[in-house]
Amino acid sequence: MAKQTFSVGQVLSAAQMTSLQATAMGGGAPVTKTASYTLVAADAGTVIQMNSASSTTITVNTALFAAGDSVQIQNIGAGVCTITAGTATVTTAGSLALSQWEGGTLYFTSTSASIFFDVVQSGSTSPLTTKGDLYTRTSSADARLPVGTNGYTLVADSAETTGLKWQAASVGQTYFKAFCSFNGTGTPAVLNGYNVSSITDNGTGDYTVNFTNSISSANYTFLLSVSKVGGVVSLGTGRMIVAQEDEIGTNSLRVNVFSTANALADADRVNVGLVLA
Amino acid sequence: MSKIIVYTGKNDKLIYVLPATNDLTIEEIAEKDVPENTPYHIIEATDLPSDRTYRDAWIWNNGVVIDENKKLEIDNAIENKINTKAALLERLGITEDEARLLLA
Repeated sequence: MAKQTFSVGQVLSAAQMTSLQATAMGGGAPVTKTASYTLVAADAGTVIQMNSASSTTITVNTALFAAGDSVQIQNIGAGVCTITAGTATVTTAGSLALSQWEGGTLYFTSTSASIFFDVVQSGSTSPLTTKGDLYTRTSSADARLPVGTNGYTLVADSAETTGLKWQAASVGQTYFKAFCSFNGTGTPAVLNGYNVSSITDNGTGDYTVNFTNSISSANYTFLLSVSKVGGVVSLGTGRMIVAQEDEIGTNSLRVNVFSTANALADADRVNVGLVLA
Repeated sequence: MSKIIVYTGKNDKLIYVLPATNDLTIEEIAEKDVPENTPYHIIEATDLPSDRTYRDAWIWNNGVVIDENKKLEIDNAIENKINTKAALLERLGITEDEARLLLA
């Protein structure tokens, strides 16, 4: 029921009482609109329900409503309905753009100022779909950030739509760009690694370490070491490892292991690390 | 079972690529780390010989096999090296058998 002015001794009908009750309970029959609409004084105390497949507006002007008046606004159409400040102000902590099935109460604090208390419908607009998803926001709407790869960390990046992205965990304050340790004898196996996609075995004591992501510069510091089983290292079992100067690249690094007799030889374990400031 | 990628390099030597990450499939690693336009095979790592003595004689022939000619070259090279050293030691009064013991 729209806002009424009653007189002393006036008798209300059952229909009027029912309508008043519905209004008092926050409901009542809505006044349906199918196109953009400008509120009028008679809308005070009523429910304005927009139902349009296209975008619409509900405009709020001054000198129509008194302090304490309110208008419920609902949008049941597929088009976004935007509450628009005409000559009156409309303040909100939420959004004035109502998607389908959203609504709220426009409450007037004076004849020229109003506050829109939007109703957040829990879960109804969640973009989340998968375990681990993050609820984020773009510049204009809520958004889903899919769960990242195991071990990745979340970092801020203003170039991303949501301002966030997953990336491989930083190691050693980002100075270590890649490292790995692998068997140089027996059944080949990589024991551990970071930013290394594979090891190429080119032959006895000849390995190429291939990086998952390119290193920004080939001027990195490489840390090389080998191990050899068999007790105390002797003239016959000693090993040394060197990088091939012409194959120090941003995508891979080739290393050779030599025996103390200066011949290519296998080591039991080969360790390679790359550091770049 | 872990899989590896094998292909043939210069002088028919078998080269293999050992994956080091679970973030890429073995096909993606092959695409990235095998030289362009090089045919390759994906096999089990355990299909490689566990003894690497003749690593440089490994070739691909419907599987990883040891090329007998290359194996002979490796054996000859080892023998020549031992003989050369043994001859030098013999000049110092050490017998060939003693030299072989020293170099074993």
